[in-house]
Amino acid sequence: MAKKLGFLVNIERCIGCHACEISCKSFYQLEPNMRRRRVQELPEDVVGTPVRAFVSTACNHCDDPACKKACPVGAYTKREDGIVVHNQDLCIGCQMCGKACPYSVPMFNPVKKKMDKCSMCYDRLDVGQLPICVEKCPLEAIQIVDYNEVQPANAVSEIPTFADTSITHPTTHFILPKPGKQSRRF
Amino acid sequence: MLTENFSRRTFLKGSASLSALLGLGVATSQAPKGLIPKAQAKSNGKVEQFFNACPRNCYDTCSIVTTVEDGRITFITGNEKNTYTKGRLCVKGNTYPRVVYSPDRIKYPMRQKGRGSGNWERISWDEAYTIIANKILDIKKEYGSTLPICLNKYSGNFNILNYATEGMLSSIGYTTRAQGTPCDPAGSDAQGFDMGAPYNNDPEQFLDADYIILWGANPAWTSAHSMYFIEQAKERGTKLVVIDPLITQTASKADEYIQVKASTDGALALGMIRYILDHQLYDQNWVSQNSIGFNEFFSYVKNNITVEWAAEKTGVPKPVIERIAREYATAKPANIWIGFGMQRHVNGGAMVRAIDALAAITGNIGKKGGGVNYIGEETWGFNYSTMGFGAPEGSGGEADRYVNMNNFGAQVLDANDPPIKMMWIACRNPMAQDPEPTVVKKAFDQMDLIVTADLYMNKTVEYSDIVLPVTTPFESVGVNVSYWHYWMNVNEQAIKPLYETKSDLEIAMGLSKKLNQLKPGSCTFPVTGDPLEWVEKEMNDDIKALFNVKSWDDLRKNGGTAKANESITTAWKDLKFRTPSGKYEFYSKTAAEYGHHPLPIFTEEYKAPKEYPIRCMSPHWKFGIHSQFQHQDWLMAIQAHPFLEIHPDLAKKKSIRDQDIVKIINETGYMTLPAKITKMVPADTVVMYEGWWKGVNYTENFTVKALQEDMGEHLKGQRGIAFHDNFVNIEKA
Amino acid sequence: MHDLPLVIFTVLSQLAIGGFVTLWWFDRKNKTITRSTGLIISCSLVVLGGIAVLVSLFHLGQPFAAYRAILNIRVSWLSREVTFYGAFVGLSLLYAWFWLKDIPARRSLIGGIATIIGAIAIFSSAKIYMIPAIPAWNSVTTMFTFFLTSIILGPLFVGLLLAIRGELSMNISGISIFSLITAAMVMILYFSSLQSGLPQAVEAARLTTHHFIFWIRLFTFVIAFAILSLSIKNKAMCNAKIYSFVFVLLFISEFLARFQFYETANHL
Ligand SMILES: Nc1nc2c(c(=O)[nH]1)N[C@H]1C(S)=C(S)[C@@H](COP(=O)(O)OP(=O)(O)OC[C@H]3O[C@@H](n4cnc5c(=O)[nH]c(N)nc54)[C@H](O)[C@@H]3O)O[C@H]1N2
Ligand SMILES: Nc1nc2c(c(=O)[nH]1)N[C@H]1C(S)=C(S)[C@@H](COP(=O)(O)OP(=O)(O)OC[C@H]3O[C@@H](n4cnc5c(=O)[nH]c(N)nc54)[C@H](O)[C@@H]3O)O[C@H]1N2
Ligand code: SF4
Ligand code: SF4
Ligand code: SF4
Ligand code: SF4
Ligand code: SF4
Ligand SMILES: [Mo]
Repeated sequence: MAKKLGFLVNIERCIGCHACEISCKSFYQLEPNMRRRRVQELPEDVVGTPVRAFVSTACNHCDDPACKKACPVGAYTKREDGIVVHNQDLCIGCQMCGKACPYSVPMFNPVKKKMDKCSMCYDRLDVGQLPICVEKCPLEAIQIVDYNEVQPANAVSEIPTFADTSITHPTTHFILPKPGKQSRRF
Repeated sequence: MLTENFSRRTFLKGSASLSALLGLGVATSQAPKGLIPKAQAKSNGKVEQFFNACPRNCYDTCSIVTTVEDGRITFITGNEKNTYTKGRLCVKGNTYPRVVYSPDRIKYPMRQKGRGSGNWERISWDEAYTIIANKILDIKKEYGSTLPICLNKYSGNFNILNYATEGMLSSIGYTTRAQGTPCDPAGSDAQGFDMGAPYNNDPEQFLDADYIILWGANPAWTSAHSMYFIEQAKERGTKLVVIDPLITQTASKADEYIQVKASTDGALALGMIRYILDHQLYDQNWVSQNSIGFNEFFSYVKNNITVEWAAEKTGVPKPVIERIAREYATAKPANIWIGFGMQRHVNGGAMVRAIDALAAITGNIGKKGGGVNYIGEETWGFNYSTMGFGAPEGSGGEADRYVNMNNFGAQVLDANDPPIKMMWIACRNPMAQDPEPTVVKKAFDQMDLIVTADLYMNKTVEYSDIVLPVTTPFESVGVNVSYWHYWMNVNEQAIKPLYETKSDLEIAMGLSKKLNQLKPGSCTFPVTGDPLEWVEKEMNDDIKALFNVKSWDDLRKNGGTAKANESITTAWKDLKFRTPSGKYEFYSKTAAEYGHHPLPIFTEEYKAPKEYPIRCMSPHWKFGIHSQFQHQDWLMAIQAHPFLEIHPDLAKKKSIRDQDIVKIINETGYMTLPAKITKMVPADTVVMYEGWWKGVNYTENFTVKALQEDMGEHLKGQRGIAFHDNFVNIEKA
Repeated sequence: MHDLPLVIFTVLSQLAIGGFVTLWWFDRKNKTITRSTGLIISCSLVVLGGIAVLVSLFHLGQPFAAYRAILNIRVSWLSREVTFYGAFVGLSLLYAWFWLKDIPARRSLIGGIATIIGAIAIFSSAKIYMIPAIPAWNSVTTMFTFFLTSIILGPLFVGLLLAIRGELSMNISGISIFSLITAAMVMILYFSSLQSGLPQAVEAARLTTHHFIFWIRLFTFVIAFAILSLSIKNKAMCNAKIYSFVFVLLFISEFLARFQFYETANHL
């Protein structure tokens, strides 16, 4: 059976450090404002007791990718293993995919004048290496999971701030933090 | 072009005209826009990898692997061979390619006409050396010594070879030195009194802990690699307790977070101790065999401390204190990590002594996975061969003179006989990082010549006469160890220095050459030398044995990183303390000699003045190490300006809404910045993170007074600064 | 602002298509338009349509690779838009050619085909934007507004040129008033659906109405409406001057509306 690769983002572990985002930027030598992975602050009360919580997302390699449908040149393909690949050679930089993606994932490269997005580092995966962001997270908070194989126990597909998953059926899943005890003065 | 000029201009606070900017030796239009596309670099072939060491003032002191393609760095990441770095870097380390190829780097030596004018002119290295050497010789002639020359160097780069700057200054004669450290002085003295030295367990031992208390430490931001071991331990069932006035990123990960009233941790520790004594949960054996003064201490506690009182004092409910005390005392081993931030108070040293006592009575000291971990320097036994040349013949004066680094401005102004006339600043940004920057500026105003060696146009460089462009770690060689973990990391030269940059060691040799040209024999520092030979000279037999390496070069060839052997990775394993008695000293005569109470007693916190009732804390920031990293565009793209964290209750009282501009003010100064309303801070406290932000004309220190900590002079020569005992008022701007 | 080329493209292309249909319809019905006038109008429509294409290229990172945009016609509405609009411009050129050659039958046939293709082009255009990722766009009002732009501006443009040529023989004001009333209703529908939609849609409504552009747009619309209402009864007002003025007002109104459409497109 074909694979269904997706990210599993452990918010319980994530310290919001942005190392994933910046290691990706560094490895792919992206322009200063471009991000293939983005770390975003979650609402403070996401688990009840107030905490600093973050979530790190990249392309969600959706089952039903809106980017692919929008693209006039057919630059997007979905591989057997589920990875949604953007072929920059074909891209004409119309930015429609960026509009159509519910997660605003594809970003314009102002120098190449083409779109750019997370490839799940498929060329690394293909030779048995982990994606940079997965390998470089100091907390090992990101994993690649074949969701056709396993459904990690406490993984959820929806979290606050994450757009309606019924649109494109993203493969990314999350592990939500467990609230700790707090004794606060205020 | 336009945007680059524009950002340069805001960078310089609009102080310079555009024409002046054109003469600026900082990379502007020729600067690399982004980096060379990888594919392009790859096709031309040559890919090499080098080992580097992150030399920042950071617990983690990472071992780095740098990929170079055709002479250009294409990727920088962690070294997998180092089990602490584990092949990955923190967010800051991941920006290193940008640090190297930043459009903002200083390219050439420059001279500024009018301090702070922004009117910089490019000069040659020879011109720079000549101006500086002449000034040194003039001063020596006029004052009969080089004491009017003052060095302020600290934490920009902890490469062992970088002590060449200190060596260079020693080589011209006796000089004035900024002494001390802003990081850890009070706590280090406290541990010095208790145990003879601060000495911490290998942080990889968090995995062996049954219970972890992070006491005023925020490793999620300040030591990301430690946080990994802590999270791992947590997942294996170790309980993580975080004690902090703020719900830090670390506290957000705790099984239990305890919001203590700032600067009352001594009361909390003593309250726990009282409970432990009352319930016979202490390690009678350990105490009687390994300590002195426990009877005095126990009776102090019994007579003066109650849990109720501690609850009152700290704001931590009595049942919580009792529960944590019981849990801590019964977990084996239990690990405490005391952060440096915790002790930046007027009673910081006393607080650390109380926490030490808690660890001691429960017998957690000397245990693998346990300990009361603060800082350590066991691996720092290098030769420091750059420092050993001594004053030249005929130097006036008898010894170096010291001023407190933590009260630099005021003490420079106070120094007379002779006054201070010239300043050499390296690895330091006192205009941003020191308290009372206006006083620092006044001290600068008194100088005939200010020379700053740096990579970027920071606040201090802006107010200097000459700037010397220095290299990044990737353009020079060295060796690094940590004050926290037990690894030694080599630093190879990965690329040729960009532009006209030089390492501090090369600068030392260059200046010495010029001095000897102008006046033979005026500087004892070598005038030539291969940095590779210099670094090899740092290795002595003890270091080689400790790390089981033959030489620097051997280490370079074999993975670039080595861990000290197990003889030292568990602190006080042999229970031979370095105190006068050789035991753990609850009763410290040394402490008394320095004017403190001999016992770890409670000392009161600093009280808020009436007009300024709000505490303003300035802890360390995740996207910066002080003046470094935050100003890089990669990080500015995430967070571009400082902000003030305010509790919703306080905000409401002051009619401040999220993102409103607030003014924070006290008798020392004021600043305005946007508010971030958040429950992460208590309602009597506001927080702004420290560091140097590009395009902002203030720093968090604008309201910080040079209020001393209680300790520091014993081991660090000088007391530290109570950065967090800063009280202000706030209003909507 | 970076969507400005798209603002210009959509407004101009819809104007061109609307104008084209008007011209074709009048020509078929009344047969009173002289060859030279037909040629002028049809050529001006080709020029407008061509400008629209050129401007749209500015929106591309790779304008010279624009031809590739038809590759994904099987799924991409943008591909379809490009294809159909391209075909429309081609056919309108052919249509102008038959004005030049003065062959009414061919003209009528080509015009008919172009009308259908043009309508599909507008339909495709609208479908591009009806995406869940942008709640403010994701509704049939997008479809309505795109066609309405065509119906508001097209006939007026052609009527204006006919008036200049002194060949205006039917009641343009009537058609326009009808389209303006529909537009007003769609606008109300649009805002009420935004208000009851997702937070991003609500925000889009807020951003739109809290900007002065919205008021200029409303103001020009109302004035144009008032003048046209007066002109229905008053034949003397159906002159080139009045129509130019009204056209300019409505063009501004439509342009600003489209500008706001893009500017307030809040992503999920
Ligand atoms: N990202 C990053 N990492 C760094 C640095 C940096 O600037 N940025 N700096 C490096 C340097 S030089 C140093 S010295 C270290 C510092 O490392 P840390 O000590 O971990 O960091 P700080 O932010 O100084 O302070 C830690 C915590 O002390 C808390 N604190 C303050 N007062 C009290 C108190 O009275 N009681 C208790 N319980 N807690 C209190 C603060 O709220 C803060 O959360 O980090 C090093 N690592
Ligand atoms: N309000 C407040 N202020 C604080 C603190 C706080 O908690 N609150 N923390 C204090 C603490 S703990 C510390 S350690 C200090 C740190 O303050 P500083 O010692 O000033 O530390 P950095 O900003 O890390 O480094 C200073 C400069 O060194 C430069 N540099 C880097 N590498 C080299 C090199 O190889 N050669 C030379 N010549 N220069 C180099 C950098 O570019 C930077 O501009 O700040 C203190 N200030
Ligand atoms: S690197 Fe890991 S811990 Fe840091 S933000 Fe990314 S996912 Fe979170
Ligand atoms: S997240 Fe966006 S870009 Fe990625 S596959 Fe889904 S729709 Fe496409
Ligand atoms: S920007 Fe490129 S990838 Fe995206 S839709 Fe347009 S052509 Fe396709
Ligand atoms: S998988 Fe690769 S491309 Fe995608 S965010 Fe991670 S590092 Fe970047
Ligand atoms: S700043 Fe600290 S954690 Fe980051 S790379 Fe350097 S040593 Fe490692
Ligand atoms: Mo520090």
